[in-house]
Amino acid sequence: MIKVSLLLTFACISQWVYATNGLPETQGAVILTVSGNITHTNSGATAEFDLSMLQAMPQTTIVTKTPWTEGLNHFTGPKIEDLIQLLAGKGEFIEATALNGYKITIPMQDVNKYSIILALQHNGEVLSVRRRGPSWVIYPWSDMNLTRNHKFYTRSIWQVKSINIF
Amino acid sequence: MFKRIKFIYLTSALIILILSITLVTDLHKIRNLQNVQKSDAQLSLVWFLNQADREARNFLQHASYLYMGQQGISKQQVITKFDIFWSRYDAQLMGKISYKLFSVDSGRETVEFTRKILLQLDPLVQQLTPANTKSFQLINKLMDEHLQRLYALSINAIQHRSAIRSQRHSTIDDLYSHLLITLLSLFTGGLLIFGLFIKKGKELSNQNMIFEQRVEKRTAQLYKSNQSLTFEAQVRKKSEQRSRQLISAFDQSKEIVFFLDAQNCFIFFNESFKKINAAVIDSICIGAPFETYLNAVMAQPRPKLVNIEKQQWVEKWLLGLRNSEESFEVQQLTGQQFIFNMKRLVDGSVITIGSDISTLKEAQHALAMSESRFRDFALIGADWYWEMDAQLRFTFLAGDVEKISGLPPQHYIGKTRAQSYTDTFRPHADSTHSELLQMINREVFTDYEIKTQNTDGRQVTVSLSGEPRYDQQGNFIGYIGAGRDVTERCLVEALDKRLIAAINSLNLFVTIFDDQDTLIFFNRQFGEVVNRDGPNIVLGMSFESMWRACSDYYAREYGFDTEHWFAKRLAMHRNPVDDFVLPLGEHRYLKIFEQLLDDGGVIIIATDISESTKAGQEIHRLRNYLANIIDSMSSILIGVDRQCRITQWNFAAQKETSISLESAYQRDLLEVFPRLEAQLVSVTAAINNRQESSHLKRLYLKAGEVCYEDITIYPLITSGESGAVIRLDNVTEQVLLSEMMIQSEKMLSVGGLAAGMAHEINNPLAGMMQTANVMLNRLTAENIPANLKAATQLGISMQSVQQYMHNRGILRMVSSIIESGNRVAVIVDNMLNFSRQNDAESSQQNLAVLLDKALELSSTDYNLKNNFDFKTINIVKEYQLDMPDIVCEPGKIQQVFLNILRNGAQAMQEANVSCPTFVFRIGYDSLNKEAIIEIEDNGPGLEEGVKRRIFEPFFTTKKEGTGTGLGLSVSYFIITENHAGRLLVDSVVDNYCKFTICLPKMGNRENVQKKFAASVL
Repeated sequence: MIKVSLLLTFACISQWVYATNGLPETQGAVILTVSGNITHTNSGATAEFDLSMLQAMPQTTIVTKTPWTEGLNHFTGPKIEDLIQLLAGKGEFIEATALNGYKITIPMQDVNKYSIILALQHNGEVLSVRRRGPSWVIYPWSDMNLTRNHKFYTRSIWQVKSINIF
Repeated sequence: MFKRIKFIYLTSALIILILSITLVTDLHKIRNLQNVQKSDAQLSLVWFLNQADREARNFLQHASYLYMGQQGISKQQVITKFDIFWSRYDAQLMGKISYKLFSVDSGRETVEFTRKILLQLDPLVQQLTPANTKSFQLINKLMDEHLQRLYALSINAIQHRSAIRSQRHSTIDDLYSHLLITLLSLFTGGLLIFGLFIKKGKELSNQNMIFEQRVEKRTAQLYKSNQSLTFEAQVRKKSEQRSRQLISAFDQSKEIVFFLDAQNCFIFFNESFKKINAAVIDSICIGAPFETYLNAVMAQPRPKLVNIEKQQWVEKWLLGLRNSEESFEVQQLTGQQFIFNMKRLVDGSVITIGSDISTLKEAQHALAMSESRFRDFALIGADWYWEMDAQLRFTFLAGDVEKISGLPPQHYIGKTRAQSYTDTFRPHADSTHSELLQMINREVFTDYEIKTQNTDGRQVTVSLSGEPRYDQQGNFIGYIGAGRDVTERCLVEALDKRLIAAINSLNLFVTIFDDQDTLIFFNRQFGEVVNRDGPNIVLGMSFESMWRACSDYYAREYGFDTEHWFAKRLAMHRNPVDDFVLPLGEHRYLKIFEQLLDDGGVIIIATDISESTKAGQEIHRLRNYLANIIDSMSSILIGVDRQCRITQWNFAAQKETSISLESAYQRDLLEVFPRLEAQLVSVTAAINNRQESSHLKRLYLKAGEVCYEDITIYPLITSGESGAVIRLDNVTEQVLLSEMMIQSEKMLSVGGLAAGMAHEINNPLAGMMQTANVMLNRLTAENIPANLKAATQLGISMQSVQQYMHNRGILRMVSSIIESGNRVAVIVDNMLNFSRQNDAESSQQNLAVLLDKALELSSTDYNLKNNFDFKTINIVKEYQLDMPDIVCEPGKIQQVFLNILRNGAQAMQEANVSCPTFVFRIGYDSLNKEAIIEIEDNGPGLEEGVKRRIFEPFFTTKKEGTGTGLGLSVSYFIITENHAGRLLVDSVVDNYCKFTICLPKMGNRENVQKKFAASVL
């Protein structure tokens, strides 16, 4: 079940369009660094994001059950697909790294097929590190039965620090 | 049955139900465990704890780095690590892992404790600055407690997981067992049900079969019953028919037949019965009691019977009624004698049949009388019978009296014995007539012999027996008697007496036993000798008793082995064997002969053969002795009879021919000894003319070897039968030895001659050869100044001189002189080789190498090549491998080889041998320590005469001018004189020729020693 707020989308579209024209510098603490085969960057060969930049992107909410939470949970954040598109990234895989050094490779196919998001909020609260933030890769498990298995659970990396597209 | 099946079905169903429940339970358990494992796989508790531990340690590490002021570590980093650590225990983000943690021992406590720790750590982390010892120590302490708890929890989690795994395995094992049991149960149940079905099917089949059999049996019974009824009707019909026929037959029969019922009342009687009892016919009717009939009969006046007899008559009938199946005789009213047979049947009725036996009785009486008379005669047992009246006159004669006397019985009737004699039949002169006296005295006489002479003039002996007869008043009424012809018996008895006399006179022991093995005769010799000192042999003894007594006697007298010979003799008794000889003691023998007789008896004749046996043994010993002498001779001795058949064949002859004496005996001489064919004339002459002949050193071949033998043939007369003895002596060795001696002597003389001649010839030959060469030189050489000068002075050129010489054949003649001179030189050189002087050095040589070199030289020999292509000869080499070197003079030995090869090759060439072959054999005889070289060709071989002379000097078989006749002589000298060896030749014409050279390993020691002595001096 994916609920996308059309209004929010229309409200933000002007800003998103703006953003695509050039990647602004980060204003706050950098919470995500994207590297690899990308076109748009703001810090050398990488693209750095603070929370506001990510929140400025079109937000998608996935309502789903997870093995780590009770009941239905609302996760909100930009689609990784949008993020790659924003950076004009190209590749077959993305490699996500967590704050504790955990790494996972996600095929680009997942990104396109399941519309996975980089959740910034959980049940309306911004994800802190203590709550497995600042960002968390979320699959729509409740909507896609096929994804409810160990393979996709392991790709759901939390406390994401950086992404490498290749 | 059905109850049992029901029970089995119910039990099976119950078992299947229980097993199904068990299986479902097991499956459920496995499912649960799988779920646990599945969830564990999705969200591993161990993984979680591992990560939590990692985060805690990361935090503590970074806190330590900050506390210690390590470069590059900021407080924000420590806080981040703390937050990451915190995130692991956030109550909202633990989800399902909480359940897992809580299911493990100390899981819940550890989580709750950690959360408390985190709360305590939160301010301390905020306060932590480098060198803030207090905060760090607190942090460190709290973290230490946390890590210990976490470690314990991890251990519990691992154990928990192991427990789940083992539980799963156990459950799977249970499931497997249950499944196995279920399958086995199902299989067993299936088999059981299948078996029950089979059994039931069989039972049904059997029941069906029994039912069918019963139906068949019942049907057969019905059929049989039906047949039985039909048969019964037929039988009844036939029975009635037979009854009618029987009644009719009974009525027509002469026998009396009547039937009584169980109450002894008449139910049937035939016409004969009515006829016999016509007087009392009123008392006889069907249903009338039999007793009424009897009473009626009794009432009849019967003058012949008194009352008692009547009473007995009735009792006989009554007895007959009681004792059925017994016949009894009854007189009827008519006076006829009847025999009745009464039989009471099972139903009580009586059948009576009576037959008239009056005639039979009378015949029996007459027969009895006749039998009485003839019994008397038979008792006497004679050829004829006679009766006399009181006046001793013949009243009756029967039998063969006419055959004996020639007079018919009527001749004797009314005459006394004396009156009955005629001129032709009269008493013999030796006979007496005392029987008349006995008759006068009324005495019984038996076997009284009377000799008479019958009409043929033949003396007849008759034996008479008689007894007086008296009437009832005791008055003498005559004689009755019989006579027998005992002529033959008398003659036999007379013969017996003579035979016994003859047997008694024999020097034999004769005993005769009858068929019961009882001694019935022994002759006088036996009685006198055996019974003189020994056992008391008497007639009537059994054979065994007699032989026991004899054995004991022999044992005492001669040391006879009683038990052994007793048993052996008993075994031989009545099982006659030829020549059974009984040794009584040393040099004493008894030959026993038994003959079974026709009457079952046996005659035994024993002969004392001691003397003859002794003589026989001596002859046998002598014969063996002579045979041994003949056999031990090395000469072949052959005895032949007049027809030249073998009579004597000694061991040497057997060895020579491999034919045994038994095989050769009486066979033709040439058949068994064919090589005497040439001497057959001499053998015949020896037999016919008593002429001895000898053939010395006769040549013959034995296994390809040439042998010599001396043959001597002696005439022989044995027991009037003429024959001959042929003696053959092998003299091969002597011949060869003498030949060798002659050869040696010849060679020695030639050797001396040759050595002298050689020196004498050499000097003029050298001058002659030199002159011839100078002549040739001066006639042909153009480059010699002296030649040119002489020619110039004469006004002729050298070419003219040469031309003249050529045209006149002078050069050819000079060349011929030189060539002839060379040949003479060769001869002289060869002759010099006969010299004993030996200047050449002996050395150790490999004979194979020498022979090969000689072979090589042969193939390049100009003379030889001209005549013969040596390459066409096959060469076969058989060299011993470990051949030692031999001390010899190599040049001379090669010369020998060359000579032999040359001769062989030329011989093969001349004979046009199709496949010429040389065989070289080199071997070493370690026993005699000499090398043996054989050179064999398959050429024409050598005739005996040639072979004997082959080593003689100047002896050659080659064409004139082609051989000096010295080659082999020289070879012979080289081998025998120079090397102390031997040179032998062996050959078979048209087969092969073989030269054998024997060389001592150490060479000619005499030469060596001489040389050694010369060098020392």
